[in-house]
Amino acid sequence: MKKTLFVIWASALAIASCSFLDPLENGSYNEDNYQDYPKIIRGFVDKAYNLRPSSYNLAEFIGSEAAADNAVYRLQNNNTRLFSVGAGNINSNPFSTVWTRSYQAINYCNMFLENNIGLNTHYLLDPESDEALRISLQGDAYALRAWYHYDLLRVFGGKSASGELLGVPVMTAVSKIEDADPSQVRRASFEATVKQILDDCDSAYAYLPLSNRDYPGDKSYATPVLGSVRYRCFDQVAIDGLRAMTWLLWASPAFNPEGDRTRYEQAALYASRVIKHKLEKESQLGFDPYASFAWGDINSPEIVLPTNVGSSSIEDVFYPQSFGGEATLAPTQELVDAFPMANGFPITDSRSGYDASKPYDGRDPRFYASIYYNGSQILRNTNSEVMYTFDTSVGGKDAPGMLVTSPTAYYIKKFTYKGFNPYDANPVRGYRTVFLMRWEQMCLIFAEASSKAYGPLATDCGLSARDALAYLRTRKTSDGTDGLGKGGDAYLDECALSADKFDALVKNEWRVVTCFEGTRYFNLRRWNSTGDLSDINVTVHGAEVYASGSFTPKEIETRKFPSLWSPIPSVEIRKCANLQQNAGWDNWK
Amino acid sequence: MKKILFTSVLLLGAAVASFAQQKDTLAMPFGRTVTAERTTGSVRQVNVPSLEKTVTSDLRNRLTGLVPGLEVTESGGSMFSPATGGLNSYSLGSGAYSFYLKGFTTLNCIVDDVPVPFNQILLDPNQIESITVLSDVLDKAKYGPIASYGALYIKTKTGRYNTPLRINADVESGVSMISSLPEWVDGVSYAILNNMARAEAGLSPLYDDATIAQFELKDPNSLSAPNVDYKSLMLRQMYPTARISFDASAGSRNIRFNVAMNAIHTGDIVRAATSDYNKLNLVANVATRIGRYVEASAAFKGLVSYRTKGNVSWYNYRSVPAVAYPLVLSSFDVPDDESYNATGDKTIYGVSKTFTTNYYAKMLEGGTYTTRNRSGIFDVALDVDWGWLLKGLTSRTSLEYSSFLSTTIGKNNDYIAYYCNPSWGIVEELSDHKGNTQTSRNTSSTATGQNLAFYHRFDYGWKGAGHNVDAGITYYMSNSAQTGDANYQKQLYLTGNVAYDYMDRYCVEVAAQYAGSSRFKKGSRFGFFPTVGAKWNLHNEAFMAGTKDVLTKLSLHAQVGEIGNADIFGTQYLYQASYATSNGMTYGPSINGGEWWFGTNTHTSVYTNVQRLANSQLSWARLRQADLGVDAQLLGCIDLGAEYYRWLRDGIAVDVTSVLPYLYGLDGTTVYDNFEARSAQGLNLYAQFHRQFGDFFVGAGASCSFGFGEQYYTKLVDDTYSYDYQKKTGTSTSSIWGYRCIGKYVDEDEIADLPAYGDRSALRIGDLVYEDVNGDGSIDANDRVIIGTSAPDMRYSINLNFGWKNLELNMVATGRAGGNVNLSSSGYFTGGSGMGNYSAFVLNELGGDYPRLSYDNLTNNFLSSDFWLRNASWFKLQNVDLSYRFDFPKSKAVKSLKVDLRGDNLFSIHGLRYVDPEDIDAGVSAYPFMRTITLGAKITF
Repeated sequence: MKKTLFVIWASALAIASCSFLDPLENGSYNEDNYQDYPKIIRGFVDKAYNLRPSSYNLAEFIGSEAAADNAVYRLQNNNTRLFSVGAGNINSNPFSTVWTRSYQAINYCNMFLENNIGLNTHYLLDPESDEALRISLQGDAYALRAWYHYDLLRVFGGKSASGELLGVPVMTAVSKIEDADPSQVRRASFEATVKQILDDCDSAYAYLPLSNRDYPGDKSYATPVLGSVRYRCFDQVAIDGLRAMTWLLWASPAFNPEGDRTRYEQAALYASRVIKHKLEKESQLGFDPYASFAWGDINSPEIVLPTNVGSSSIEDVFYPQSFGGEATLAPTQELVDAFPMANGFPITDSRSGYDASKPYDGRDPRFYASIYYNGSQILRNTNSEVMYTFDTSVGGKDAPGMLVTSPTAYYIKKFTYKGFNPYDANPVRGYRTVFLMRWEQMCLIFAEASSKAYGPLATDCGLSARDALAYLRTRKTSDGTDGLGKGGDAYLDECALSADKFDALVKNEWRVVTCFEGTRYFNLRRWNSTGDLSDINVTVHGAEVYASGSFTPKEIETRKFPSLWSPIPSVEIRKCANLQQNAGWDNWK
Repeated sequence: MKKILFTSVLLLGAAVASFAQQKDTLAMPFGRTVTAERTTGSVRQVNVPSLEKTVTSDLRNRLTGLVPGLEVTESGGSMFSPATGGLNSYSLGSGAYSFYLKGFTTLNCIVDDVPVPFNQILLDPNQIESITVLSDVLDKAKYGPIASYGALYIKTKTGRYNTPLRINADVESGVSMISSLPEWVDGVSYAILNNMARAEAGLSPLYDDATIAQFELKDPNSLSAPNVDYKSLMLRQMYPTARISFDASAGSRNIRFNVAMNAIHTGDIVRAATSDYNKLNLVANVATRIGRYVEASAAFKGLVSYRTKGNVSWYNYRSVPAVAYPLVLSSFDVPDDESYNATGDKTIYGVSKTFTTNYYAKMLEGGTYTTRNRSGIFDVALDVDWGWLLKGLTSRTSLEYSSFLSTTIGKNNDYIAYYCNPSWGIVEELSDHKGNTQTSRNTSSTATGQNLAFYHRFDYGWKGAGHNVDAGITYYMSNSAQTGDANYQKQLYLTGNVAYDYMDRYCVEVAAQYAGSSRFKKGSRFGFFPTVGAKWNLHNEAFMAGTKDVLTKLSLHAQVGEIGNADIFGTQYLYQASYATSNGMTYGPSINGGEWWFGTNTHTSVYTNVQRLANSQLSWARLRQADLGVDAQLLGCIDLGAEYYRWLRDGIAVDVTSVLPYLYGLDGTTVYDNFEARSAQGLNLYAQFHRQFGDFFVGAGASCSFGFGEQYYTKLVDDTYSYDYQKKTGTSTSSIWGYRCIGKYVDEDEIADLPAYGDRSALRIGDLVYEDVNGDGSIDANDRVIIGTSAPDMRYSINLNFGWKNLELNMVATGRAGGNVNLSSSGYFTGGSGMGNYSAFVLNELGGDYPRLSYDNLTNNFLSSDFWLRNASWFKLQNVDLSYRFDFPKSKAVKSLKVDLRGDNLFSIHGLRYVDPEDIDAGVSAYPFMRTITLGAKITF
């Protein structure tokens, strides 16, 4: 009797407790059911795409130029400005957003790739389209993971205090709280990080379509999921671009202490593949290497890989207050001096015809397309109406020291949309996207890599390094004016005969062609083979411009970096006991 | 005769109004009783009759000062706190009252063994048999995780077998008066202050001397110079309060019952047509013996309440300056347009473009809403004596169902108002208030709550030659739901305890919980939590026999252990991942306008956000606590006690994203984990004297508790700091952070030279100067340090009781010593800018305690800083009761009549001139503290 009672009581208890505590279904997408919702799974890839920046006005783009010698911020207390003069705040690392968003995107890619869940999910009813979508999404996930690791490596790769050449922590598994152990986080070697990027590129290449363009008559692009509907996404051409960028980074003196020349060969090879694709395939779709293009043309055939599209207010960032802007940052005298003369010779060359009393006359057309100086005008794109005339001469409304003006007497023209006037009744702002890869950049990569690998005139990859630079110097500027090489380029030909002179020319072309795009800070570092900081910690100047047209350089500040490398966000160093900080930033933890 | 004797005994018991005593038997959860000698914790039982000596108000307010170590403070002087927005918590402290017990501010309410949100039933003293305060770790463990912060265990009256019918009827009536109300300036002062503020900002004055002179006339309806005394138009100084109570109990050989009900009415300080609160509650218990071994019982607890109020809140009166607009317009002034013609003979009110609401009009014509609460709790229980199976084995099985419904229904009507501009003295066009009235009433809110609970308990007792064993095991399950799915919770637990006692000298106890909650994922749902306790009654030792005349009692006791800690209605599903989709950029091929790929919206990218990451290991927070106590009694009339506690609440579930490195990719995602920890320690002391001298009775007691800064952050997620002095881990949760004020700017040089907060050009002489703690030349968030604490050094209470024959006087006072209040948290002190109203504080303290009048309310002067800190000490005479009892021993009907004169919140002493440190918002944004005086009569039949 006692036993029976106990058994009844105990079994009632056991039955009741079995599922009693299960909560009400709350209808959420959660870890137990998300596999049943294809939109959630493909949304992981879209999230990784969505995390890409859509404006050049970020610390890692224009901002980094102001940490190098191309630009300066107006405000003394700007974080990047403080960072560049050795007074940075450890909690305001200008590059922390690169770190945060890249790893966030990588985790989303890993969620898609985990157990091939993304590849094995059916998204569409039509089997053919579904197949095409599944495969291209899988390619996207690998490509994005490669891209974000590359972006991290470019910014944070460097030597530790002990001199070890390190990459970044490589994340290939989904983060789970149950096995989170920050003390296990370590930076992979530089080589291992590169290998990871290249492996992911190979995987992506196997899945992605050749090109996200619509080719007339090509049936394989007839599905509703491929072709230009994927314009914003990776394709095989962009993977080649990423490979070229990765190999060039790894081939660069700072990361190639052993001087492995084959890395340049690989970089040249992949860059040439992109160049050839543009010239041979996309010329059918309107690509012309000599044509002008506008920065607001988000569908320019110039683009290899765009980011998200947005409507930007970059004009407000650059213009002086008297034209409705903030004059947030300004070009330096050093950058102005880097632009050659219209005849192609640098201003330091006696053959250039540079006249210090008329410093802005007869310059490279690209100078006029990139920088506003004393007397420049902002012309409306539609009717060439003069919307604004700059007066940066001493006492002028846009001169340094006036209210909300450039500290250097120069203003940035590049990127701006000339249809915008803040005083219009309904100001029109152009569309925007960041060109993560574009034609000119591929030419520069090729010119640098091919010349290093084979020499300036060698055509091992089908064209020579000289040819690649000629494209850049000959093409029309974004203003629509002819390039300086239109009627022959004596200086280019002269440089092509000397590897050293050509090397210097390539570096200057990098500087003027991609100014404000966020390459200068990182190029200066990867080109540095000795660790000597004299070309990094330079003094930048503005100008005191006189009504006569001449100017006197005016010292603004001196860069002061403790090493070639950029600091990893200090909070990460604090949280991960075994995460090594880059050399020179020991106190950033 | 027997009846009379019994009644007298009962009434005599009531005469001892003093601190909760360790009475000989204490009521413990699940129908258990335990003798004081055998409890290993400092279990306190509230003296229920002394609750009846306090003025009619919420039971929680009546508890103030009655239990050593338990503090009850009011957050504003609410009349009653009916649940209007639902029952958001089982905590007693929700709403108008704050509790403090052994470092915890959450105290849960258990009624007849089932957790009940106190708002749901609002019990009154005549319905209550006993209230036990559970505060020590093993005592809490015996009940279950819901008691982990401490609990009031309330047992309702049940009646006794073989007892003749006893009926009490009680009437009480009185008034509540506003005890203090911070004032706002009248029209004349407003105009002067506004002119001054504008002058500071370089603006021209709005009011010339002639207008100010007109304001002196105090005509509320003047077109050019209205000056309205909103306070006297909209507020009453007092409102009536009344209560009628009835209770009856009796028992025959096989059946017993108790019925108790209360009807309460109170008014409101708002002068609206209808604004009051009415409540009727009923508790009925009946039990019957079925045969020798079984007793069946049933109980019902019900509440019906009505709270009617207008659409203006009592404090709205002061948000409009007295001179903003004429209150009521004469029809001659109003433009003769169509809209006015349509209004007929309705009153026309004024508003201005800045102050678009006429609260006076809204009070008169805005309509009212009534909140009706209906609540019922039913429970049935079966007590079985299993003695035929095993001697000493008993069981109790109980099932409870409770239901709560609150609806707020009424009308929100509009009035007709025209824009007026007093400075031009004209009426402009019709405002947005066009006099629309609602034709039918609408429901503005509803809230529901249900709870279903079941428990089964076995108890076993064994005695033999000085040895006593008492053991029990409880299986408990409950299912609670409140408005909405998110508040849906299930708990399941098994608790067991074994106590052993030898000769009432040594007592050892063990209790354990195996508890599960639906808030955790399968596999992590259950936790096991053990506790132990011991007591040594030295006075029962042979070696103490010699001192027994002096040291009547001396015992040491201790409890230590761990209990599960999870709020019943904490957020659900924290362990579960949550994915959501959002629309991203639009794109897609388009052949129109040459835009091929971008710049169209043919396609929309849909991306996934991981809003929360799953954590299958999320589980119970653990409360580790140790309690030590010593109780003594001298000469049989002086009780002394001391208790020390220390606890650590570890593994509190919080979002730990900020602890994890960003390279896990969890930016923008939340992840909950058992991460944070809090700790506290403290000391409670009490002394109580009580003695009868012939016809005289004297009692006096005092208690105090020291919290040593109250709770501390032992481990904290969000502890980012640039300087060591900003580190929060290890600091008290009561710390007040702010700037150190080092004076006021005395000249322009200081303004130019000293480190400044924000824009230096906005600073003037007389503005506050702060210390640049980090020495970086500017004042910013990095210069914030701990400037004070809201935790008092000591909380205390005092009681005095005198009796002479049938005359009695009882008094209870409570207070706090030390601690700070931060006046900068209240708009009463920091307000006064632009066109807004000014408080009397601004008027009277200008240039002193109020730094400088500035039209744009200069942030610099109103930052949290020690300039605004004040000593928060206060002392209050909470309750006074003077009573006389008439006995009618010869009467067949009426046995006795007791007449009480009672007062509540009669006076207070503190150092603040304008507000009350118990709650500086009382009378500003919270209901003012009320002073209540009542006269009552209680008849016993």
